[in-house]
Amino acid sequence: MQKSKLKSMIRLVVLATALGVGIEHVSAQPAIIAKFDPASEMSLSGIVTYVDWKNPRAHVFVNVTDGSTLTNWAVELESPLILKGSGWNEASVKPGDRVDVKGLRARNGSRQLWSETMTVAGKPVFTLKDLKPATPARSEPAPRGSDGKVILGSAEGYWGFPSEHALVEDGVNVPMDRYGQLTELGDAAKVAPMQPWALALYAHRQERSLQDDPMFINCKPPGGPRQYQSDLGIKFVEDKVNERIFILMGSGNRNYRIIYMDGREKVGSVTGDDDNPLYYGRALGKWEGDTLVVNTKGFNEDFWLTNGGLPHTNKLELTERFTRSDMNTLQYQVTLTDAGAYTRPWNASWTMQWVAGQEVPTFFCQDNRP
Amino acid sequence: MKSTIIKTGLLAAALSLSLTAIAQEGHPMKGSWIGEWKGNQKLGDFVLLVLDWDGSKISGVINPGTDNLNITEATLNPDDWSLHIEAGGYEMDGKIEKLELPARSVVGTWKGPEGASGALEIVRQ
Repeated sequence: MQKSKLKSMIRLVVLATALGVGIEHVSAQPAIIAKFDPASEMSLSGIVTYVDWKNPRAHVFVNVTDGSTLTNWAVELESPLILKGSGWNEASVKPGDRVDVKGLRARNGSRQLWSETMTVAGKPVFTLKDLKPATPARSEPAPRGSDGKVILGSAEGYWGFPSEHALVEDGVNVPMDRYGQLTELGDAAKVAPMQPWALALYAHRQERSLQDDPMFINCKPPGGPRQYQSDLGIKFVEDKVNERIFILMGSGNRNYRIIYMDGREKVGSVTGDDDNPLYYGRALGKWEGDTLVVNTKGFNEDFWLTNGGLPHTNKLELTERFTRSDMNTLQYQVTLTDAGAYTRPWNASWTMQWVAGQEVPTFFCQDNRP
Repeated sequence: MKSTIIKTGLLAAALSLSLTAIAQEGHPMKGSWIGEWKGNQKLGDFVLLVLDWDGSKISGVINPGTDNLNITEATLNPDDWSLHIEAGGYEMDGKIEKLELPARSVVGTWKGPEGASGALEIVRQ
């Protein structure tokens, strides 16, 4: 890794701590450093002119006076969804308020600033709370239906807050942030057994600070295992009459994945097959004891396989195992086979946490594109 | 003459699509590419490549439907994203530019029969 890049990373960590980013809060947006430069910290004071309370991120526009010159700055904040969860709303600051802001300036030199808080009359506004639910001291057994099968989902909650935010081969430990940005670019080859072209492409995406992520610049769905690595979570809806399981996404514009449980063949459906590949592929599931095992093929090549930018091809096949090991824990294990991009099949696994009593959050990227 | 009309039609159709290049986050060479091999007096300046990746090699055809030059050799060096293609007595050498874009390009040179050569520029559609 280049020294300058390493220094930038260190500065980001230091600055993030200073800004209070150190707490665990949900994230479903593009990497901050994709747009804002960690090495370009700045402060401004001015008068609020407008509050744009839309996904994927809220903006507060501020008029700043410097001598006889008046300029308007856009202060970018977290998603309204996250801000609302932290107790704020679009009236928390109003046009006419005088605000002080500290943050990171946009890489392209435009008058945009990333910040996670601002002060009005000396009081902090838009500070973020830790939204992750506390882990219960005692874990209850996984709930079961009248047929004795483990219930993966119910109306009273959803699965979120994954223990990993990017796909990494089991047994490999490489430091990266919650967006999948490696701390050391030199670790890229350790992440997964990539073919040379795939490794070079992954490194290229990393070097560009993940700014080309199609999930954010084009609002594409979180295909493949990525759907299970968003804090905004997922929800299982089991339709036993029609023998299928729906997975609703909290991120990715609230689209859904269908797992067919009726033993159908792998081809011949208008919802996707080898001739009509999809973001979520064609998924066929079955129960093995308390574990839902899902085999999926038929992916298109229009998305990144994971936060951080691992590539894949249309040869990708996933074998996923979902196990609700107790009331609050979902074990997710996936075997990835893709002879187009990887040198051998490989495994990754993580857990998701049950968020009781809440609906899966609604997040629409295209409300206000970055 | 007929061949030129067909090629011109293909080019026009392809150019009309080029503003909305289809996303391709997999192998960087996979897909259709349109551009020019300038100075090609035998086949004309416009060129169309359709390329695929099977996990171990790049395959495809140059000017499908008209010249049908099957690619016999194609290699991509990911160290510098340089490309080499051989088909029907022609060779192309170039480098990928703007790798991160769906409408990425390859810029380089071509060589053909009887010492013909020139500049190459193709853009992924």
